[in-house]
Amino acid sequence: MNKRGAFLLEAIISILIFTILSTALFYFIETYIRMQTFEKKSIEAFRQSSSFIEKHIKKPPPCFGLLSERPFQIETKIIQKGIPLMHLKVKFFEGERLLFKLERIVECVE
Amino acid sequence: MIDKCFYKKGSSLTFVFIIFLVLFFYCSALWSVSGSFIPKLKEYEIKIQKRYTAESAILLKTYGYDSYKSYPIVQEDTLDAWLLYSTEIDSEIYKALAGFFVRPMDISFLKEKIKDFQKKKDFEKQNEWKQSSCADTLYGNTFFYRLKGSEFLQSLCVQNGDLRIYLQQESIPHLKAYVNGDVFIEGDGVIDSLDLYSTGRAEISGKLCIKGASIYSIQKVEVKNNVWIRGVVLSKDTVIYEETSLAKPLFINSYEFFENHSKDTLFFPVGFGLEKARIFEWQYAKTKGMDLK
Repeated sequence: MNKRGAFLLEAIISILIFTILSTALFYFIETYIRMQTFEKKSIEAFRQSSSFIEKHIKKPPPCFGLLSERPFQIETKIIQKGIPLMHLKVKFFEGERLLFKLERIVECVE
Repeated sequence: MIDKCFYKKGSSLTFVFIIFLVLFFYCSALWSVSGSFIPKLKEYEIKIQKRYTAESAILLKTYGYDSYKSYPIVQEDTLDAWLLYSTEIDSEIYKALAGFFVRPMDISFLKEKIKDFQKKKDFEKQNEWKQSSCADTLYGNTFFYRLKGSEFLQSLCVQNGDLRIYLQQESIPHLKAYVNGDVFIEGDGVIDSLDLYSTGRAEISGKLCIKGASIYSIQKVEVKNNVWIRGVVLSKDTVIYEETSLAKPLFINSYEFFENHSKDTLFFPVGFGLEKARIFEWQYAKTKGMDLK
């Protein structure tokens, strides 16, 4: 192999290494930024969920017909007929995956 | 030539370093995707859920559910004039104070009930006084100042005279006094529990904090500026107070008080004969064995 061929090979290998390295770095930075945003969103969703429950602790919701609020899902269940207590569950999903779930018994208005 | 390129001094180290960097970036990215933030969220979730579970168990207890699902057992007790519920999760104790809620529209109906309650309390207090073996019985006007907390660990009786206590930034765990005369508590300090019976009037003034008060006065009770008071005050005359100085819940049998607070929630103490207890304060987790006050 002559001197020119060796230089060419060296250049190709360098470019290849540089490409792999920069792709990895880009992937790392992009994922990091995406996860930071997602983390913020998830924690914000969590804050909203607990705030939703706190709101209904302070001001009892209707025993029937409480609507779900985005970004989380709500499940309600009356403890016993005639008693104004409700089991309130708030769930937050990321795709199919359940990220967190909060539940509390709250008083409700019949 | 290639051999020279790759096997020259230090080049293998550079190559290893580059591979390390690539692996590091990919692994870090994969680690982030796998949910590196979850522990933080999980920590919040566990912490808040424990509190919600404890509160749920206590709330169920107030509705007569002793056991429901896997909720912890709740103990019921009294703390001064209020009901105290407590439960334990993972060695952490959660507490709630409850009283009896009355709607403003029921107040006129309750006037008679309040009078009956007052008479009953008067009778109870007088009997308690007769039966109580006072640690100290003092005669004539009595004045305490710069006192130590331990001085009032037991009950104190004052016969035929007034009791005057002046606090100077002291903290007293318990003060119980039966006074055949007037009572004056003033100064700057904290009284965790105050149980007072006076055949005259009672005046509380200064920069005082009374966490659990049970005050009964035959004549009049005056709670003045800057006094932070929680508990039950019963008197035969009007109670004078400054709105801003009162802590809730405070039960005062003054009709003026009811009229001024008609829009607010009123809480009545234990023994008033009302049925449904309601929580007015949650006390969050503290490690077992620690003072919750």
